[in-house]
Amino acid sequence: MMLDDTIAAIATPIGEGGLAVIRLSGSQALAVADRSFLPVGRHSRKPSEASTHTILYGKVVRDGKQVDEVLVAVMRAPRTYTREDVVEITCHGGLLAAKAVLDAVLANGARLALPGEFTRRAFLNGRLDLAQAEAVADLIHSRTELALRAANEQLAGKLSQRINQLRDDLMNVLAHVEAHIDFPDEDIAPDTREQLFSRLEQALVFMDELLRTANEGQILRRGIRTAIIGRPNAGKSSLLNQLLGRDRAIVSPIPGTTRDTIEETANVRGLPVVFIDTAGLREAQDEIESEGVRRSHQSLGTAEFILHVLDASEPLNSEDEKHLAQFAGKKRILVRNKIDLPEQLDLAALERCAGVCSVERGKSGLEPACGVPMVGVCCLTGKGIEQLKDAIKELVWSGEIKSEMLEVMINSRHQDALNRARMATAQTLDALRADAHLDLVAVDLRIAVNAVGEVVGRTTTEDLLDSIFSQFCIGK
Amino acid sequence: MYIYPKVYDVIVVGGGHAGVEAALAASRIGCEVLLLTTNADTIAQMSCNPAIGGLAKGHIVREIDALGGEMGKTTDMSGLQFRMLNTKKGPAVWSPRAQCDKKDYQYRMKWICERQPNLDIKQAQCHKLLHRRGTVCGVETAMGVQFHGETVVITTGTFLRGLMHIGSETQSGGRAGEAAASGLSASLMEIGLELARFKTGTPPRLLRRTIDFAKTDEQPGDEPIPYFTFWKDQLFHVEQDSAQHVRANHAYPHGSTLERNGGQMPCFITYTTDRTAKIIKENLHLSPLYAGIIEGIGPRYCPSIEDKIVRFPAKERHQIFLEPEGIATDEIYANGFSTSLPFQIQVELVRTIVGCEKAEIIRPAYAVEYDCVFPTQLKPSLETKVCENLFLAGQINGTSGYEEAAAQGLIAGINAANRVMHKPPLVLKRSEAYIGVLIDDLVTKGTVEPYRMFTSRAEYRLSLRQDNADQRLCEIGFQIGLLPIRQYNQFLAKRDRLAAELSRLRRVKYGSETLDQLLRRPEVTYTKLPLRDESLPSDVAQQVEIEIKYGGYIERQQSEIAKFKSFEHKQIPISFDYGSVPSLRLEARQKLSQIRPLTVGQASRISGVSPADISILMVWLKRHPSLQTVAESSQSATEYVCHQEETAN
Repeated sequence: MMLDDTIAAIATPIGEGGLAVIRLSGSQALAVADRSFLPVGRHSRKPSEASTHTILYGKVVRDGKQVDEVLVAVMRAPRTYTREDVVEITCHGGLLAAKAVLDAVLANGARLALPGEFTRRAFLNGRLDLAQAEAVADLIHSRTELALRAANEQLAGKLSQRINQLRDDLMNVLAHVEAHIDFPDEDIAPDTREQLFSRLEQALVFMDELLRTANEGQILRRGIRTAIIGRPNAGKSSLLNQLLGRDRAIVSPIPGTTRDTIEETANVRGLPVVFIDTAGLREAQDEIESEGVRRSHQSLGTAEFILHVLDASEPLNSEDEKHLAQFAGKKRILVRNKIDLPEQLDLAALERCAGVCSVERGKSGLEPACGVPMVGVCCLTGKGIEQLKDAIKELVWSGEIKSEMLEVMINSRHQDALNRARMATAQTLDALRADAHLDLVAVDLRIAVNAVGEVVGRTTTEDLLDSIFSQFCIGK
Repeated sequence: MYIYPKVYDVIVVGGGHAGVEAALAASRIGCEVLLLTTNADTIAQMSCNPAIGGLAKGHIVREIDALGGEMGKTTDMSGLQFRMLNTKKGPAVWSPRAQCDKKDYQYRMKWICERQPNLDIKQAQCHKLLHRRGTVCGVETAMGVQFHGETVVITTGTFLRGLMHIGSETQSGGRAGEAAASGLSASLMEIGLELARFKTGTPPRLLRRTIDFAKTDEQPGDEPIPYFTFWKDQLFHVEQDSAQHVRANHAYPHGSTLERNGGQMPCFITYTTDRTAKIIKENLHLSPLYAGIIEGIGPRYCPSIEDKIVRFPAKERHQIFLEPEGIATDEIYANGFSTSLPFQIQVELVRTIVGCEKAEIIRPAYAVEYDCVFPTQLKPSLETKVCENLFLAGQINGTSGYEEAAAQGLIAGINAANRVMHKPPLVLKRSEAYIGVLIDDLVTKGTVEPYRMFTSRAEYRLSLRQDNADQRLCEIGFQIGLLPIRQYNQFLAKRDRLAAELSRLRRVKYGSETLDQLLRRPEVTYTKLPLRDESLPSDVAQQVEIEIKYGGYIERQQSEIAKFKSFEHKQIPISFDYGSVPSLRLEARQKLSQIRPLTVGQASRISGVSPADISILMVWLKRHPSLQTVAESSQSATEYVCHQEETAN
């Protein structure tokens, strides 16, 4: 990766919008902007002559031709997002206009930025710490309001506060253990094993709390992958369109209409859910369909959640039974489609097959113990879709979404580090319980402190000595 | 002016604990060495407590001994009380400690130096360094005599502009009764070294018959005696008497302090009282430390009694050790009671200690301020970055403690000799020795207070034990030409015995389990192990037991460290321009430019350099593959050490 060239990209989402922003960053950002921009009006000037954090009016030109009428924001290093010179060109929205402006700056010496490269520069230039940089990525990729709030809280450093607290607690225990080891002749009274014990157990509880937020964090960040399956013509694509609230998939009464898998994200009760519409799982009639079926199987492998669509107007067939058995191990909801038509599905047989607990039968909550939840819908009219959304949320999100959880939602890097810290803390407790030598106890405790320190990027030795000397009167 | 006609390979300035190890090492390797001391009677003087060892420090002495240094043997010969500390904890943190006879220690060390071939001792005050084009070439004494030499090792301890404080009285000097070295500081600054000012203190010495020891707790020495040296046959002169002539009543080394005293002497433990605290609080304004007269920074782990009272007001009493200074003196060292309060307050204060109600002070306590050099101005070889062939060792580098000083002296002496012989420097790794941790910490992180070793500074603590210092370092000691062949052969024999027994235990089964599995159980010790080798020497049996019982933990520790240190040995070119990396934070750029780490691992340990800075540095090093080849050619030091390691394996 190069750090000293100038990069550019369209900073707003691709699509129809009133305005679009093209962002430039790097040592040549002002020069590139000079070459691409023609100031208009008495107060406007070349970007390189403008003072920092001002806006200029003018035109973007390429090969002498006007490309668009724009506003240019000039921000000089270091008070910018990347700590480099940054120029943001606000042009008319729509893919074509934005693309034309981008082409103009690229032709004048900028390079197309790689995904996430602005944030990476901000991190490398010391503008953000690692946890904050990760939060920015989450912020950009957050798919719902909830995720956005979680990312914002992390950016504000709330996670770092919690982790630092945990690290201080563990460090304190380590200081007591090390004081025992390094100062045997001193008249000091570090905590006894029993006292250390209870403090470590508290730390474990704290880590468990943080770790519990990990799964929710994952879901908020990248959405839960939900495959819609069922035999051909059960109404999978209709269901997808209903859940998305628009006609995304082509729907026809002909079995095998969907040839390829389709992925779309929808906001279900605040949660991002990635729906994967699969080609009907059947013996394919031609080469294209068979490729579609192959892809279906592939995306089924990555799905964490299954919506199994059954045709209520027809009896259960062997294909349905096969699917019921095949996905018995996955989190799933059975969706009885076409409930407007006369019921042909033998519920008794279905219950035998899958242990179904029907939502329609008046049970408000879905207790997992009673088996697989089932919801009846009509994809033509939209009947039952709201209940289905409730059922999805209930299943993927255990309990309420608490606001304090959002503050510390951890990502997979944090989760990995915390898991190691947790394991090492548990081993420390085991060693204390087994009356192991304190120098051995210290090995695991240090692993725990280091692992927690990884999240916030801090090291051990000097902090440890500070902690010892501030607590104990050492000095023969 | 007189230029001394003999040109030396190595000139050592200062005859303290660092100086003698440096001079002995360089002359034993084969260099012509000059040891300059301001007073030949105070060679290897124990200015503070006459004790050697203790946690982590005992480890260092064992390492010095394994490399072929002198400190361990002299301690064994002059100790009057020996203890192994921490035996209730694991063997990694056991540590030997000895209370020595102050005069015996110093005179034996002096005599060893005098008898050492290739080593000249001269009494003179060095006040100026001679250098030419950035390379040192000798020294000049206060009398105007020049000594010329290829390399110079400075080990001046607390004598650089030393200033002693007792109350508001100040007196120039490095130690009570001795003059300070004044000229050398200017000379060091003139060649471009930046100096810091540190402070340390020493407690009063009391007259034995004025103390009521019945009111104190007696602390006896350990039996059998935990000697420091690995080479006990040397201690007991087996080479002269041959083994069967070692008489049964020959319990102590011939000529040792213990032999003359007929056994060990006890130390005593007592406490301060609330009257101690009261007097200190009333007179705090008279302490030069609190009155702001002392500017130097003192160590947190060795505070004065006034510091302890102020910082820990809740503590009702403070522990004081009453320790004999020798077998032929009645001076008692009041360990834990260092102070710089005026003498009249000290008189009153000492008499508040339990058992010391009528105590008479022979020598008052005092604080001493001195110049030292920021150790980040040194290379890992202890050579200064600004002046070639100039090495610094000991307290001048901001450390405290005889052991820390001796370890640096040994390494500086070895590396001065290596320079003379055009060999690459010896740099011990953090995974190899406490000495490696010590020097890496000093040259990489620097220190903001007098640096003392703690076991918690060593991330490889479980491997860096006092019992296996020989296994870790004898090979290196022999390769550099310091450890004699006789000791080397003893080490080889022990190593082979150890390896053979370890492999036998892995192979031989008892019931369904192998012997090593059996030994891993907490309740099984080697002496209880079925099918054990009865002929195995006890020190080898102990090592076998530790290796096997600790095995799992040692592996965990290693893999934990390996995870963080994948970039440990990635080289940074010595000429690398940190200014060319715009993305480095200002503080990191300054620290890196100043310290010039040789590896990314070293860079990562510099305080003020964040993980983000290291990522940036890595990116930069990767971006410029041309830098890699430059880096490769400056690897000789590491290669040398690696080569040693291969031979050791």
